[in-house]
Amino acid sequence: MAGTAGARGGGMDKARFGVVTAAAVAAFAAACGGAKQGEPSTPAASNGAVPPPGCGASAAVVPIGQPAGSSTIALARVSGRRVAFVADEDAKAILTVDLDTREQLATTPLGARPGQLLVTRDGRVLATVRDGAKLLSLGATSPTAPLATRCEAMTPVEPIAIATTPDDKTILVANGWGASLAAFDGKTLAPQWTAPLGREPRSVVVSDDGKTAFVSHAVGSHVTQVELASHATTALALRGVRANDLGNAFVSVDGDPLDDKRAKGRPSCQGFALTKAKVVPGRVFAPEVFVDPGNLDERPEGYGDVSQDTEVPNVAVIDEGTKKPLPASVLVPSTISSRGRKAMSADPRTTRPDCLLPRAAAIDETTKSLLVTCFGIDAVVAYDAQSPAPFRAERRRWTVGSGPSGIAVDVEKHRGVVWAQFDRTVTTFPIGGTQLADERGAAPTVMRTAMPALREKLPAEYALGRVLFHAAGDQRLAGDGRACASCHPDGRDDGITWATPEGPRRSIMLAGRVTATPPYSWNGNEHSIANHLSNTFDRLSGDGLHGIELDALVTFVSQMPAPPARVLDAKEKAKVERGRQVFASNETQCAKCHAGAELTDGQNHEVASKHKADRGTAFNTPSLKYVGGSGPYFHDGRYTTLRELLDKTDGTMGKTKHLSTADRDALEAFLRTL
Amino acid sequence: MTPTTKLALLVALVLLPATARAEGPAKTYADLPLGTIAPPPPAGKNAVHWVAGHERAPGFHTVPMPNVGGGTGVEIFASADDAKASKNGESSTSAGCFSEAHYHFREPEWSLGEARAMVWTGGGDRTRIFHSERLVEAEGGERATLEVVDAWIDGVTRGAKVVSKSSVPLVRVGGVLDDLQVYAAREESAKGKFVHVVVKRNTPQILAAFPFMVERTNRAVQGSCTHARVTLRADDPSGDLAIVKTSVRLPEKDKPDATPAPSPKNAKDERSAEEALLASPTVEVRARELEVQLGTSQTSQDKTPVFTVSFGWSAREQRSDVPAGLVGSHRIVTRAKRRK
Repeated sequence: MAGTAGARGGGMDKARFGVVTAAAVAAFAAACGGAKQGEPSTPAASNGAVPPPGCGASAAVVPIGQPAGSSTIALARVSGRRVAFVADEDAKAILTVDLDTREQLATTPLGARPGQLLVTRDGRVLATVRDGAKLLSLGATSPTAPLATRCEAMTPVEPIAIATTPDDKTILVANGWGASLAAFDGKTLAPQWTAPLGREPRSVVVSDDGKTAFVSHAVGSHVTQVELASHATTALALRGVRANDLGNAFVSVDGDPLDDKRAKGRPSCQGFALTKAKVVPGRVFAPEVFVDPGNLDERPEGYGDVSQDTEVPNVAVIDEGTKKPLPASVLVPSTISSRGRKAMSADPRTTRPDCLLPRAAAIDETTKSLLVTCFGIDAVVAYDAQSPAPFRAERRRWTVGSGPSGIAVDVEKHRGVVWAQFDRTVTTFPIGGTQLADERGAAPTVMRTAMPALREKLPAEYALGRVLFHAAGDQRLAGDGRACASCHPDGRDDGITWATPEGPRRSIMLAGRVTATPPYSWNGNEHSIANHLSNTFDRLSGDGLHGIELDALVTFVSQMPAPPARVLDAKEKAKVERGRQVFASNETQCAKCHAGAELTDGQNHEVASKHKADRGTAFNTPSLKYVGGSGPYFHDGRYTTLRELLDKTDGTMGKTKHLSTADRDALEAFLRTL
Repeated sequence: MTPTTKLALLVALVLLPATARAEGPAKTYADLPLGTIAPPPPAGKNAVHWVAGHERAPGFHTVPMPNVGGGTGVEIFASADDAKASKNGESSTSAGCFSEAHYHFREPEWSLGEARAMVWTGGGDRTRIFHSERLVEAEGGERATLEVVDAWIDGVTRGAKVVSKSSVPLVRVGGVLDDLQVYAAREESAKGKFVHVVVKRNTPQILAAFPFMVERTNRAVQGSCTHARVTLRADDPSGDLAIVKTSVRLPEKDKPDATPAPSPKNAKDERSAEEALLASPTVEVRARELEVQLGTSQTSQDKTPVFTVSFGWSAREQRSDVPAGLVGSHRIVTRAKRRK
């Protein structure tokens, strides 16, 4: 059950539901600035001085509000001045912005992409370094000075979200590509334990009683609950249920939700955000999107059933006590579909665009509103947080900057504050009351301020491509409003098998594995990314992109950030090396097709994998880059875990029957490093 | 929506004042007064097959229908005046609200109300059971009472037999621009816990052309009353919700003359008055569709059910120019609509 955190990727095997303890602690600590094992790196301590309480605690920094978890923006008073700290992934820095003048006061360069930020009650700014596998505790002495790193700890791969327990004794970090939840001492950042989770964790909050953490996942149709005392994990299925199916929907899911064929209803994805607040006690809010991938035994004209809403936004409400969603919150209404409403409306402006890419969430305690930021439509939507189905209770929305990745509530001035990564703006807006107002003649009060230009500007094509990749509701891309990022969240994959005109097809991970791996598609019939994209738009009933915009999208798809690499310890390195030998051996024949630097021969092969709905029998050899974190496997997603794939394809795709358990472990470990 | 219907809607909305009132703290489930609304009797149980012609029920006024297709029947109105107007071939401005029993859901329920009802014996039973509601507002709109009568109506004898009567106290739980009010009561009985919600629009019967729409999780229904009543289960572990869709008038920049036009005395007067009104100057009317979102739920940490009401605009405002003289003349607008 135990292993070294960070050494496992997104594997879906049951081994991940254990706890990584001593080895991981040692690994973290050893990597932590040369400190002794089990101790964090603390500059003050290295000078022989007594480390300050909370490793960088400062009376000069007072958080504004008490968010349930981290975001890309966090608010505080620093020496009395009201500021927002912003995790700017393009600048690879934390920006300090005056909340009232919206002037940038300081920049704290990190040299790597920051994840999210959280200001603790004792005045520390906690930050994850997404590319650097670090949790930082930063201190501020002045609002106009860069933050200073007081101490840091190594984390599993790609740390993103942070939360603290109510007693502040434990800091929890959800790790994306590292597929885990790591716990650290609340004051010293000393690593405590790591619980392996399912794929792509993105957000974490802790229950009111401090006993349970809830972790959202960008893919996989579930939220994981982690008991903080035992570190036991349970995957809580979040699937869309038709009203008529109510009562059969909540099948217990022990282990991997993708393994559970009994689970009914629509899969969900885009679980980037979680939030909660004491004004709506016992409720955890999980914005998500229900997906209808169509009947896999059929071959529809497009991706999924074109006659249905393929993507339906939602907000699941999880009861902290029962650890189940309120059934009403996961019902897919069977009344009038979004597509039906749009078809019925003579004026397209009268229909509200759907929030298909929710990215951040916060609660406004005054109005008991759930605020959700949405990529693509660049809006913040306020829902009634007391509703059993908040998505059905939209109060209002505000237009904000492009790519709103984070939100915080300025409780002192009752405003929403949003960081928009794509146009690098800070937007503030008054939240107002719960009454509907006549908006005629109301002065625009949404204030959007751009940060100073980057020292190294992003290439324009890349920046435009990023916006287009996330353009939900753009009829040029898809007739039903889907964005590229709908099936490829963060440029990766949604873990879903779709009914397509060629048969069932798993979405393919894009980030870091596109440019050098032609031909494209499972059929291997596209040799140009641009052509493949155009073909995809056509199947999505989109009008298509052309010229500069198509070039820009190709640029972004080709250059989007790849998952960070894992760091291996000596023991792991030996195992992986053995796995490399097994992979390359003539006996297994893995490298025969998965050849070269990109681990593909670019050819189509028959591996006895034809599904009854498939038109063809041969499939393009997929690159094995990042294979460890992108299950389920095969073109139709038939194998849930990498291990299952290795065990069940003997004789049809390489040979593994002769391998000892140790060698199979080694082969799997090697694959997870690719 | 036809242009005429839209015109009727907008004209009716012009009649309404539209100023916001200050909202106090949101009412909780425990704040709601207790009241009971009986559901329909189980299908076929205690059915009444004949009602004596002399029996009467308050709020049920019957008018014989023409003998069509071999059957007889009655139309049902909420007031004697409306019944009389109908008998004389005139349009009515009934504020009635009649519901029928629906048995095709998990539990029998009353349909969303219609402004009038009928029993026709040509195609089925001579008796049918109806549920009638009348909303009486008090204390400046902060409280209200829902007067409820359920009765069997005999389509042959025109008799009405009361099954149950109740008076449900309601408290205001929200509103929009003083043009729409939401009242609620709770019910705690052997059947379970419920919240009864009444969404009331300050509009005349003319808005029958633009009914309320209520969306539940698995159905959507329309009703033509000036209020819509929705009952939510408060003890359902699943949570319960309903979305009431309607529209309100937005405040006018330049208020039109709200002096009601004189009621026409006869058909000739009516036609000339109608022509005069249509020829009068126009005023801009602004209206906007909205949703009233109702929900009940109870998590393991909630000691009592959580009841919530929220509002959201569901479309942009719509503006139309309508003859200023139409303001206050419901009957004429109704006839204009019918003549089209």
